[in-house]
Amino acid sequence: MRKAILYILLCLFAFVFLYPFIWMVSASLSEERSIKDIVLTPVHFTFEQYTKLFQSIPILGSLANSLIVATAVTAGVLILGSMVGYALARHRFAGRNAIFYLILFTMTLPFQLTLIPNYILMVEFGWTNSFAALIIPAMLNAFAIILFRQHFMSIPQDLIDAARIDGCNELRILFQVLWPISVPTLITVGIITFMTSWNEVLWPIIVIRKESLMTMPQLVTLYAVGGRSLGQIGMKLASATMLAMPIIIAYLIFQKYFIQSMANSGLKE
Amino acid sequence: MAEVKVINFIKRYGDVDAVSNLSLDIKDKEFVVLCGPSGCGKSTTLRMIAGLEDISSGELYIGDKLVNSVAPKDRDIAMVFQNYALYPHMTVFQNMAFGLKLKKVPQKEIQQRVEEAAKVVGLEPYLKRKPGTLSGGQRQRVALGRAIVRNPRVFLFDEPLSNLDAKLRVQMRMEISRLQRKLGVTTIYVTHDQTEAMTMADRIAVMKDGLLQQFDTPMNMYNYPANLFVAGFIGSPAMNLITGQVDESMEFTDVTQKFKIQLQGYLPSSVSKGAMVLGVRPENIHGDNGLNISSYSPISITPDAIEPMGSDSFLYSKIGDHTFIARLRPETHISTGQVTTLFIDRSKLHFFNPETGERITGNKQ
Ligand SMILES: Nc1ncnc2c1ncn2[C@@H]1O[C@H](COP(=O)(O)OP(=O)(O)O)[C@@H](O)[C@H]1O
Ligand SMILES: [Mg+2]
Repeated sequence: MRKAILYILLCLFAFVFLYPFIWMVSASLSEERSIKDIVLTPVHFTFEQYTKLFQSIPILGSLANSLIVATAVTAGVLILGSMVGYALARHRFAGRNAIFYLILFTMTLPFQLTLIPNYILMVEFGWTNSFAALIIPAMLNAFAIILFRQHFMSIPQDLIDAARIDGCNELRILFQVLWPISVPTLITVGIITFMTSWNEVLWPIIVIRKESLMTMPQLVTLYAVGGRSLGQIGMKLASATMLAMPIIIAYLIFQKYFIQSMANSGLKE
Repeated sequence: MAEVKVINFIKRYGDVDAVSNLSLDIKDKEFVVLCGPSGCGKSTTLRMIAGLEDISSGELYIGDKLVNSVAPKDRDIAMVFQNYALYPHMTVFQNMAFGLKLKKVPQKEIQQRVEEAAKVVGLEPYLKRKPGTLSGGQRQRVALGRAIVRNPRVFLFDEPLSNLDAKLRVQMRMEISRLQRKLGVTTIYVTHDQTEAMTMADRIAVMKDGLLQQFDTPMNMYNYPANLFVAGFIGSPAMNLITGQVDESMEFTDVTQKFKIQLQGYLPSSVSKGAMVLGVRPENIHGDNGLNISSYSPISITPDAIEPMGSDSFLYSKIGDHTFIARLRPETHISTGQVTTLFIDRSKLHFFNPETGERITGNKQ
């Protein structure tokens, strides 16, 4: 009985959290004039909002741009972050702790503080209006390094030694021995990096002016609230739904992996 | 096949020497056990031999070659670890094949060598399984197989049996010994367990605080421990070590004046009188006088506790702060709390210098 009450409460809370999202999806599939209603399912179901959206702004191109940027950034963070994390966790070298604390320190710097210097750098490098400005500065971050470092510190030394005796160099140890047993950490860092990169608006607005290079959040922001704002709320909701979809899909896929990899790691310590 | 020469090994961690001036001359095909209490530098020594740890100072020869600066994979060694250190994401086959693959051995040969090694360690049915689905004993067999398949010149083991239960440990102990003899590969084996050392080794190197105490065959180590540490470390239950004095009449009296024994004719010729530590192994104390053996000398003792082990009975009694242990035949009838006469075999005594802890040599056995 108490369990039942608990479940009802949980469902209630879940609904409260989910409802705005449900409404967004439903409304984006409704006719423009019925959108103000509080509903669960679409009223007068139609794809009209989406058709209009595709006709008026280059949203598919921006979707591709977003995918390219977020994927490249995620790959960069996973590869470089794990390399730095591994070195900090498993190698003894002069200045190791100093470097680690320096990296920690960069986390305390607010984004706004580095915005202008970063922009000036991009201009100097001639990277404005190119993916390089979106990808390269984001390819390494303190958060990923710290997560990888903590994880690699928990790996038994014997395993690394065994790999070394088997003939692995450091890169092979990292990518062929440690990566396969670090899937949960890789997924966690991957999802967070991907989402952060995907949702980034401010930085693209600063460095990208060309419409053909814009990421989806940038484009949507521009048309939803920015200078080229669309009058109709239906199209705004359709673009917001499109913006959210890839993240949700990615999350659902990887969550399955996440649980699987947790159950499969048979490393005995 | 190869001999291993460890010459004046030193390993420094900051100001502390984890290993000091260690030299070992290991013969081809020999099974050497590095033994000592936890933290004495065994693993550090082994890891220096493997190349996993830099040698702060000293030289290492495998075969005729100085290998100080040779990478672990090129030292022609294979190592088995306490935690098995198997790659969890690879099957048993892949675990064994990994090293060969990196050496670019042809696929066909890999297949054949892995299957052979699997046969030797009895793992043929498990080649497609992942380590996570195997028991501890099977995992250690995989680790063993992975070592064999490399066909190395030296095997290195670091406490490979510590994670196994007692029964399996005895079984694996024999298997490793048999395998080593069959393959004839020079082996260095680290353990803190003196029973493992005694049963497996051709020669044992006992270490303490990074220093080599003695390097000898198990029987020599048992019969002629070089110092008090080795005397107390090798043998189970441990040797009784009693501090006392020898007087003009060659009688030994311990510091509490309760334990007396006449040593005329049994002392090393180099000693006359003075302070001394007397060593008596529990198994050299008997419940009766046998057939009136002349070397047996009676002592009076009040047992505090008796532990029947089935094959023997252990008798415990306090002499000063020292717990005196005797290993008696199970049929010996003794009750706790009653004064009892036991017989010490004086021909099997050990004598040590109480200041240096060194064995006083020259005694008959
Ligand atoms: N990386 C290290 N840094 C500092 N001290 C160490 C390190 N590794 C081992 N030691 C020290 O060296 C000594 C010997 O260690 P070890 O060889 O592991 O002992 P054993 O294997 O005999 O138990 C210990 O006192 C240990 O604390
Ligand atoms: Mg050790």
